[in-house]
Amino acid sequence: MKASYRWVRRRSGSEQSPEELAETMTFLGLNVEEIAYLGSRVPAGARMAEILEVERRPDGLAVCRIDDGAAGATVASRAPNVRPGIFAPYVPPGVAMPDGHIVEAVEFGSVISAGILCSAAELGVPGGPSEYLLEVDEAVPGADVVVALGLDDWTFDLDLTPNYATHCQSVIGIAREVSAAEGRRLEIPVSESPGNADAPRADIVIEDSDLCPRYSAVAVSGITVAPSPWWIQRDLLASGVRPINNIVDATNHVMLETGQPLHAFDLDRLGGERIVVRRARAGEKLVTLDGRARTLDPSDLVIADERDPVGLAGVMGGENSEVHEGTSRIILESAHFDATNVLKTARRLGLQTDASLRFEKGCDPEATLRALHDFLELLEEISPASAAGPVEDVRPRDREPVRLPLDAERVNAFLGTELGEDRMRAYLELLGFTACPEGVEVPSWRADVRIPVDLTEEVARMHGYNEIPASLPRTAVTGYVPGRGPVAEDAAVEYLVGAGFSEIATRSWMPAAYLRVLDPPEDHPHRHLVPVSNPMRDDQSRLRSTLLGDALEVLAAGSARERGAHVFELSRVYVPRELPPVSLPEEPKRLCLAASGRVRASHWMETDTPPVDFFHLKGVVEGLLGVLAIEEAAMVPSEAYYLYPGRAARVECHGSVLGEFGELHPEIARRADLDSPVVIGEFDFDALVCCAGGVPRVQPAPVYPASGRDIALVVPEETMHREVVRCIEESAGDLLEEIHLFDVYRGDPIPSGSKSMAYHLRYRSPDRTLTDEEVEVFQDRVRGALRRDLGADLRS
Amino acid sequence: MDPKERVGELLHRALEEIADADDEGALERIRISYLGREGSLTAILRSIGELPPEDRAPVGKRANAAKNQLESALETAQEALSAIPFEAPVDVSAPGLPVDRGTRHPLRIVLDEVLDIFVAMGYSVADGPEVETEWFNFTGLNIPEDHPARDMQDSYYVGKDLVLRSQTSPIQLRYMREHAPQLPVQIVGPGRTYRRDTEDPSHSPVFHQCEALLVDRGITMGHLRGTLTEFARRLFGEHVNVRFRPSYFPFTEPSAEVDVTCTSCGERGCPACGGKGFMEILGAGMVHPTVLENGGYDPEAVSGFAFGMGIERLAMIKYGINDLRSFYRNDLRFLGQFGGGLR
Ligand SMILES: [Zn+2]
Repeated sequence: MKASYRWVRRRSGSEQSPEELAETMTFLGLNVEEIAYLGSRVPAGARMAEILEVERRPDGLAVCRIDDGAAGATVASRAPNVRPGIFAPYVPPGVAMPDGHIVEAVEFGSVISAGILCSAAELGVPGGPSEYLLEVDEAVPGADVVVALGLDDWTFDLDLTPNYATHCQSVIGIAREVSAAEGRRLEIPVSESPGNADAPRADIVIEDSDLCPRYSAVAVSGITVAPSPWWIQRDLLASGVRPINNIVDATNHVMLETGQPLHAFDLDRLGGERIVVRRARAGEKLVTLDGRARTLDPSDLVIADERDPVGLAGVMGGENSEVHEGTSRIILESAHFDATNVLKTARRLGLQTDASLRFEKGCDPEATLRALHDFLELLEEISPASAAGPVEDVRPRDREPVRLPLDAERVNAFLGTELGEDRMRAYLELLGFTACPEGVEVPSWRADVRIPVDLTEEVARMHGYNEIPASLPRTAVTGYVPGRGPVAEDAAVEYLVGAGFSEIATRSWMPAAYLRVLDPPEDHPHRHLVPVSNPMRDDQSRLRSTLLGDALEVLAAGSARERGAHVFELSRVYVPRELPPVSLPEEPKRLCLAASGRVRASHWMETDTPPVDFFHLKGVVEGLLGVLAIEEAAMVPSEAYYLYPGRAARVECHGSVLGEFGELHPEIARRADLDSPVVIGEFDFDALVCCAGGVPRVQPAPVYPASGRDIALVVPEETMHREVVRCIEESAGDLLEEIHLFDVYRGDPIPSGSKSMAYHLRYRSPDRTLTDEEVEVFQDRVRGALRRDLGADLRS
Repeated sequence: MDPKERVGELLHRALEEIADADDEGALERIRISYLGREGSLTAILRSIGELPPEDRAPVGKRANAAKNQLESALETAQEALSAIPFEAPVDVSAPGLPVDRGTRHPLRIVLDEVLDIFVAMGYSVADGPEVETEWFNFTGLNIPEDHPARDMQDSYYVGKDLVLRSQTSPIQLRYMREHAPQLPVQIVGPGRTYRRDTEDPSHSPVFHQCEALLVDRGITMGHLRGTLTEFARRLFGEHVNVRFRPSYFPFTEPSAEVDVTCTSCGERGCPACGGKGFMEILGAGMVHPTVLENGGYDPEAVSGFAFGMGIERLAMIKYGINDLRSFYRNDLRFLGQFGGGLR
């Protein structure tokens, strides 16, 4: 909401500068987002002028002789309100207007118009009317326009939190806070106009007193609708509200000052003189002031005449009863409506107004009469011939004031302060709280204060949050022992970063594009997605079941596309327990590894750096398993739909699947528009954590030397390294320390369909040096087993 | 032959042989053949006594001089042969063989730093689901039925009663309900959070928060100020100041927005802080009695404070980044910059 600096000053008596006041307000909790100077666009050289004589030409042009405090001038104007005796802003030739054009002397037939008389819009006042001349009754010709018209003002743009929105959406509300901060309690004089018993009477019926606990109204006749005097327009403009006409402006002026929304109905356009406050009937229609036809619902509260709705209570009036130029009799409404209900109606209809924004936060139920009298007082100035009838105030129930205990000891214990109770009471009284036997009575405008801790907050606020002495709590420190999960996560991240993989952070969605690229088989878990009911964009309509889509997107974009990349992400995926979900989905943590391009950065010493491939990623995975001390893991061929058939492995441990990885399926690569080689894998991080080993069990370093032997065997192509290893392990005996595959060879002289595999075997005894004869015995056993079990042809 | 001439000739021949020797073995053989027990020069030296007396001194002098010269020539040749042969120099300006290192994501770096600070202050790390029930995300946190945050406009829903958590505060509630009536409750809860914001330089529909909660007997708002001052100084440096502005959150009362000294201007005011000299880093407050009750604690007996910070925002301040979306673009040229530097 917006508030005028001068208006707040006028009401609070504060003498702070705009910047100081903004800071004071901010530290009271009234967050000032922006300060804008009202006169910022007024042309330099604009000055006040008195219109001395006006000659209306037949074409409607008014030729005015003006006193501008200097030589005087003749100026032509088309404004309808131009007349002798008024004062208006004048801009002489040669001056640049806010829209950039330079004022020039213009010839109209025999007349030369030297400069222009301005409307508020022409002066660059935001929201200023453009259709008539800005006029005031009194000014000094030649005086500076900004000062003379009160444009030396600042508009505060406030971002109010809900608790302050209850009572600070008004000049008085802000003024009360500012005065209190300056140590003064704000006193508000109450105006009271007696009303004329002969004038028409408003007849009020409240059918639903829960939604409308109070309805005050007055009928006024003898109204003349016209533009408001400049000072009212100025106050409105400085508060970001457009002037419309004197009646509407007066209701807005009172609302801006008191926070109590008012509404004027054209009495002559109502069907009868009775106002009924009732729930709408299902399907009932109302064209609101914005010209839109609204279909109402029985949850909406309406103001109706004897037949039809004429306004949406607390939100917006109806077009059918709108005050217009010819209006002469009105009913002025000053009511209190249920906050939640106004909010619901405003939301349902997508209609937010200055009135609804105040009602939905909770207005002061005691303010209706005061606002009404303020309006009547204004009316005396803006429509002197009007006559108000008796003021009606229908209030089915009395309001029960809120009283709260004030326990000074508890307040201090809660804040960490040592304030006396007198000091606390003084703070509260500055804000309008009063003493009562129970403790403190909450003023009617403070709908946000309902429990004792609310009082504590008020005391803290008045004292100043930053005046509370800071100290560190002395709690029993239990000491955090991180679980296996966080420890494993740290270890995995550290390892992967060291292995050249960069961490990426992607969002949690599963856009349709990812499904198109991956195209998981029917019923694959990747297709079981948690739906989002209210996405803002299509790509937010599901939560992801896998990190693969995001990783591919990263590889296909930007620098990764040009140079290749090694990336990983460790994040949650979302697995529904049922669809549509009624219980919380599972949120398993996944680790995705993906790489493209070459295995490492190219270098001038290595002219042919190999591209990433299955064994590159396998090495990374093996390293990860090592870091997590997962010793029992086995790698078997995988048929994962997203991996290249025959170049993919599944990692298993104790019967559970830890993850799958390999080269990317070429069809997916094509759909993802990836042309360089890509390896990818996804791991169930929770399962990795589950299988991870603890502190390693270590042996002393060996004392006796090892004996190494090479062995080369020719085996059928299908024979797997794993089988060779098992065969060697089972036959070599306990002293075999290590098996190392150091060469695989295909081609001449090896027959096709076979391959040669060369291993280095290392034997070591913990308690002696092995002799050649002993090692030969082991080797004989190994050779025998390889021939027998694998049909191997041994070359050496 | 005249023994003097004989010495001269031996010396001359020996020096030639030394010059031709190309390994240490050859040198040794030369030494033995001239200076060994049976060596030719040794033989002359030994036979000096047999010479006429007038010849003894000049021949002896010359033979000894030849022996010394030979020994020193052998030594020099020996040194020359055992010297290490140096290779040609390399171009030291050519690039070294790179050690490929990845980088942690800046959001993880900052979050880890935040967690480390709190763990060192005695906090434990807690966790919770991202898809939450409305009760844990709203009702239990004292967010009323008609609060705008509950609106479909502001939060993502996943079917009926399930919502993508709009803050990490549900972690507080879950932890308290699991541990009540144990005291103290002293946790930090990091995680992903979701709000229906249109992406712009300061908003993302998916973002990260970290929540902290301390509940015990006698916890005060002064403790909250002390703790946040300590936290800010550990994160941003010894010299930052912390200030509170009153604010509103349904789950705390009193509530405050917390600012720290602008890291780019040190409170003088600059474009980074909008001239304010301070930067908003988090929201904080004293835990609302209703939330304590919902967590299973008696607000008459205990009190607590809580605060929550946006990790993206902290990272933006820390690294001087002005567009939050950079964290999610995953451009490796951007991410690659976070690998170095001391905290
Ligand atoms: Zn700054």
